[in-house]
Order: sequence, then C-alpha cells, then structure tokens
Amino acid sequence: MRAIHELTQQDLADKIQVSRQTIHTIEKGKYVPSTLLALKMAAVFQVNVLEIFEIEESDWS
Amino acid sequence: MKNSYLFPYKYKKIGLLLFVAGFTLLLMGFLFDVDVELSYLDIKMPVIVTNPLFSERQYFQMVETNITHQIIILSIIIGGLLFGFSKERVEDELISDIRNKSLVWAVYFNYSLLIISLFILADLDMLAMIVFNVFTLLLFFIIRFEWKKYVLKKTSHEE
Repeated sequence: MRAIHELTQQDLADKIQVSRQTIHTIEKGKYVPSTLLALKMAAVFQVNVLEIFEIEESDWS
Repeated sequence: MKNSYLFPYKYKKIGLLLFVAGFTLLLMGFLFDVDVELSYLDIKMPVIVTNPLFSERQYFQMVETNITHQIIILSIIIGGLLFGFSKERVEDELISDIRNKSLVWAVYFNYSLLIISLFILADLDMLAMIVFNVFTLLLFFIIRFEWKKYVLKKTSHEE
C-alpha cells in the first residue's frame, strides 16, 4: 500500500507524526498500532482501515 | 495521550549530564573512598528530626553538616527523572509502549535483586545495597529503555 502511493517509511511516518521505526515494526507485524494510528494511516492512503489491517485467528485467543 | 506526564525533549541532555555526574561522584565516594566532600558545603541546616550516633533523638534542631551528599543524591534523582522521562525527539505510541514496558521490567528486576540481596548480603553490605536501591530502579529503567530503543533502531536499519 505504501509502495503504491510511492511513499517511503519516513514519508508516511512524517505524515502521521510517528517515527520511521514505528512504521517499520507495524509493517513487520511486530507492533499493533492504536485505533487512532490505524485510522490516520488509512486516511493518508484514503482507504478503509480494514483494507490495510486485518484481524488474525491468533488475535482472538 | 495529551497528558503524558513527560518533560519536554530538551531536558533529556541536561538530565543525562546530572545523572552521570552524580553517579560518578557517588561511586567515587562509596567504592573508591575518594573524598568528594567540599569544605564550603559545610553549613548549618535546620532539620525536623536528627538522631546523632551517641545521643537521644532530637527535634527541630540546627545541625552542622556537609551537604555534598545531599547535592549528589539530588543530582542523580533529578537527572535520572529528566533523562528517563523526557519526551523523545519523535514521541509516539511505540516509544511510550517501550517506556512503559521498560518501567515494569525495571521494577521487577530491581526488587528481585533486593530480595536476592536479603539472602546473600549481611550487615553493612546489606545496608549499602539498600542505599544503592534508592537509585537502582531509575538506573535499571534507563538502561533497559535505552537498550530497547537501540535494538529497535538497529533492527529497523537493517534493510
């Protein structure tokens, strides 16, 4: 999604006021962002949150 | 998120300076018996309670004392608080998550060490441990927090 919009991790980070490391860990699946941050990312890409994030089976347990 | 109880980023450096300076002086005094007391810090100070070694406890006295150690302790605590609890350059939710986890980790580690000390140290060494415990919580928190930030930076630089 970031690639489609031709944004670097840093560009996206600047747009939503987080560090590049935060974008990195989110993309790696190592960190689950808050609802607010997920909404901000979706707003930057002008899509629905569910189009960039999904809930996994393991999240239920 | 607005009320984060953190100091502005600019206090981070001064915090580190105070913390390191204070710790260096403390260790010099404690471990290497260097005389760090400055004679012009001999003052008469009003205290609420004092318990001199060979007499009864007294209340509301003026005592003659050297306040070098008070200043060192103040420097470590204020410095540590400023360094550990100032905002990062980019203060975001991942950093606050790491800070919170480091704090929890440091509390567990600190008290584990104290519990272990109860059984392996005695007398004056135990007393020294308890004195050091005043600072170790802050110290362990800072080390853990900085280490976790370093790991984060390193892993996200690898590609």
